[in-house]
Amino acid sequence: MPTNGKLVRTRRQMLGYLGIAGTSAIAGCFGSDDDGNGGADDDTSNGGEQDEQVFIAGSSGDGDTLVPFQIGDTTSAGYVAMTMDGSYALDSSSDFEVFPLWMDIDTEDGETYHCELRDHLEWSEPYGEMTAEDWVYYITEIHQGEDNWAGSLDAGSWDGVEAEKTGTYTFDLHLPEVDPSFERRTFMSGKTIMPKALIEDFVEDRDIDGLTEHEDVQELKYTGNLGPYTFEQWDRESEYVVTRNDDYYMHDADDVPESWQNAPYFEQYTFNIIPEESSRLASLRTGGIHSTYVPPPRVDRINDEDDTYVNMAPTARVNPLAYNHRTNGWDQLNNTDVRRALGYIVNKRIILEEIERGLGEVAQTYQPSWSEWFVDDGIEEFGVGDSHDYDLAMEELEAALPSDYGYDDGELLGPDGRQVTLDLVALSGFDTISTTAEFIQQEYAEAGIDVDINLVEWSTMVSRYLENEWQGDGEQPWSAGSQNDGPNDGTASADDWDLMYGLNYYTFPLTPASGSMYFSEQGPYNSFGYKPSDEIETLWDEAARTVDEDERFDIMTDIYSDLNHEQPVNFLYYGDDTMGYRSKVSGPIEEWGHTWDSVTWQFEA
Amino acid sequence: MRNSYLGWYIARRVAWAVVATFIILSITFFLMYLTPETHTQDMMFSAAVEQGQDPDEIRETIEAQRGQDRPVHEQYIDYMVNMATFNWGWSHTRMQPVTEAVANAYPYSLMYGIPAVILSTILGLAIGLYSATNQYTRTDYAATFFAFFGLSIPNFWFAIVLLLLFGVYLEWVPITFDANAAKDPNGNITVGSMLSGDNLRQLVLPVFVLTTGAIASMMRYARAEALEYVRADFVKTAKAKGASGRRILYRHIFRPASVPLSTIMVGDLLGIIFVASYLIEVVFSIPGLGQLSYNAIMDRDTPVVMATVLIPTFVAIIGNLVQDIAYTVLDPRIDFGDR
Repeated sequence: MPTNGKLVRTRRQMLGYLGIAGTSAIAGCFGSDDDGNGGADDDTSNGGEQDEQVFIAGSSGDGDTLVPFQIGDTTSAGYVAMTMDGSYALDSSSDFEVFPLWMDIDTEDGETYHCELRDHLEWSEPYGEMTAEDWVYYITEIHQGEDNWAGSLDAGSWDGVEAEKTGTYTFDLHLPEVDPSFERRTFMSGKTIMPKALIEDFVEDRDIDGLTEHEDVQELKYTGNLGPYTFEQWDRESEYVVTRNDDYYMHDADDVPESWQNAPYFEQYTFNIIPEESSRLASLRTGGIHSTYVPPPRVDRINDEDDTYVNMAPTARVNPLAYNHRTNGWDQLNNTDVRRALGYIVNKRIILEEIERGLGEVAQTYQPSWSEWFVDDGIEEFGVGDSHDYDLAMEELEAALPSDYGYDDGELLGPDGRQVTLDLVALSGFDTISTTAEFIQQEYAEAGIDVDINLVEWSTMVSRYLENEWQGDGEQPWSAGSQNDGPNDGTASADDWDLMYGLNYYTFPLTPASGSMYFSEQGPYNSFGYKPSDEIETLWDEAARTVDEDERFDIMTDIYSDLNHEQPVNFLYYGDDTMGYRSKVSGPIEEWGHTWDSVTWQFEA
Repeated sequence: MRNSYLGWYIARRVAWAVVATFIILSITFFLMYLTPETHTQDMMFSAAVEQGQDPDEIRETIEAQRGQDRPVHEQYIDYMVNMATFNWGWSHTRMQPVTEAVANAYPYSLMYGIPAVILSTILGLAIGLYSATNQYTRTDYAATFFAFFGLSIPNFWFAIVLLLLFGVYLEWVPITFDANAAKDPNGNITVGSMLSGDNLRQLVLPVFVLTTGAIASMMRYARAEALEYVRADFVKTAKAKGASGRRILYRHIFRPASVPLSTIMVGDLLGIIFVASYLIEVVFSIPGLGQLSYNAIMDRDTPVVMATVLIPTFVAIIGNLVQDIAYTVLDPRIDFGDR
């Protein structure tokens, strides 16, 4: 599965790990794939060799904007991140505790968060030092501005949050309700702002065009000592260049490891836009770039070479075979026992080992094994070892289905006497996805079920299969947005489908209660129409408001166990992020979230 | 009298050019309007994993940023007026004015496109004429094979193969395009900076790939046109009068053949080059008009798409007009009195 492995830190780093497979797929198509750190290490004719401390990251696409509150893509986030650290990072080496960058944050009750800015944070002249006033003004006028005049993509997240200045360098954030995971949310961690002195003129006039087109915004001229690098140039579709910031505030910080005090270790950091994948990989092999995303089929080859390696870090994305629980899917998919029986059919290990080249781990529920929220007590296995069993599946299906269904000569026959045929819709354009779809088709055939495969491109997948509309009689009970427009018994997508493959779901290993967006009845991304038991709905609600971590763990354990039992989707596997680097690049490790401190990465001597 | 006919003809053609441009831009606009917006969808999904934001709210915000929340007729009128007044707007996917985006991109397209046009024209004509005057010889077959090879082989695949061979294995040329190699120390693109060794080296493969694709059609046309005259009576007469082979080739074969040949210069050749530039620039990472347009289409950046459609449209229409006028210069028998 393609991924968009932005290397940067904190917010952009987290963005890189975000995971709806569709996003990843898009990134693979035209977005940014990668970046990295390092410098050219062997002299070739491909550029980047001239300066030992120039790091060149190969990227498949360019960024959109440098306006922080309008950024919605990982590449742009990565660009800005080079010049502004943002609020704080989450340290993957210590259970994702807050690592103060610009500020520290803490709370006693999960409802009011106290923020304290570090000393000596300076904007470029004439904007002066960063103060709490900058933060409060930015939050209230940009994110919470009337009618979202600025077009902030974070506006929804800041709805109801009250920002209060409590001192020159301190401010409080009062949440509308308890949220024990607030500091771990990606719109807060790694958050960047803009100086009040720069934006206030435009705020008064509600002049977003004027602000966006301001030279200091276009060239990030206001970033002062706030990041490891300073903007140098941006040649669209070609390269984005930043140079070492000798005034980086971390040089004076005495509460951070020494590696931060001397950072960054590259004199120049360049994002080189190389749209074509073969060219990008060839450039990595010849030393023209120092990092890029490597698709699974190419991993072995890059790893086998002396000058390159692939860092295979686990992801927080689960790849499911989704079932359509709505009115335009096979009506039996609403039956838990039927879904459980279907879970025995598909061999997950073959998908992982043979199609995904062993890059990842088998999934049984909605949390990967490396997560602190992972549980295996009470988790049943489906589709591995003895639980991959066609006979068992057929036996369970026959027991679970109404009496007008039945097997005849190995074929599952429906009420009309014909073999049951399910429509499998899958994303087109990716070999591993289409191969897996064919494998699923073969596996279902072994259990007597015919599967028709329909490969569709991303926009079609969204508009014809994920988005749905209320079609029931009477008043619409509720709507959770375009992807979940009502209860599953009255809502349907434009085109019929039964099974779906090619999207992956983010598992929120830092804020697990957020998983309700997929697996609660009114979750905005419950596009497949799953209606969980009342118990699960209650548990999601409790998890979101429980401050005590042990108590929350118990709740999440119950949720994951219930999801494993109910099989709303067939959880197949968790993939790996596969970033390729030149051998001399030191820093990447094979852990999720490891890029948070990439500012300290360097070339080996 | 002849001049007045020509003036009237040009006036009508210019008027038609305006209408044709209007139609093409209108079609482009509505195609863009109807195209699914994957870029916004991508952002929506990203936003969703950023802690449960409302995806529809994100979509509305993005559409409002881009002015796509207004009625379609308002958007259409705005775009058309802006195109006509050369106020091409702001690119929200590039964070820069569209005119600046185009101005930054076109030198990169020209620096490989112009050599490719010149080379394919000269070589195509030369090989075509040679092939015609040496019909059914081994060299004719070889030239024909070369022509069909260049025409048949997919440009993008050929480019990747050449990159692997000359870039990865032989390391003669760079794998990726370095935009700075075409600039002087002040960051400007000048004729001198374009002719730097590093820049020429990275342009070799794009020019070669584009030339092989374009040379074929020129060579085949040249061969076919020249064959019409190789056995013409006036050529036989020239031979009988003792004219040299070179004189016969240039004055008696090439000159009459050049009139119809000139018609494909703008049409076929520019068509091949404009279309090929999308693939060439993506494969070689050249930040030219092709890549600009390609990315704008993928991101549904309507202002940029409109501008990048207008340019080739303008070039093609004006080019065809110039070509028609050139008829009268090349062939005195042609005038526009009846048209």
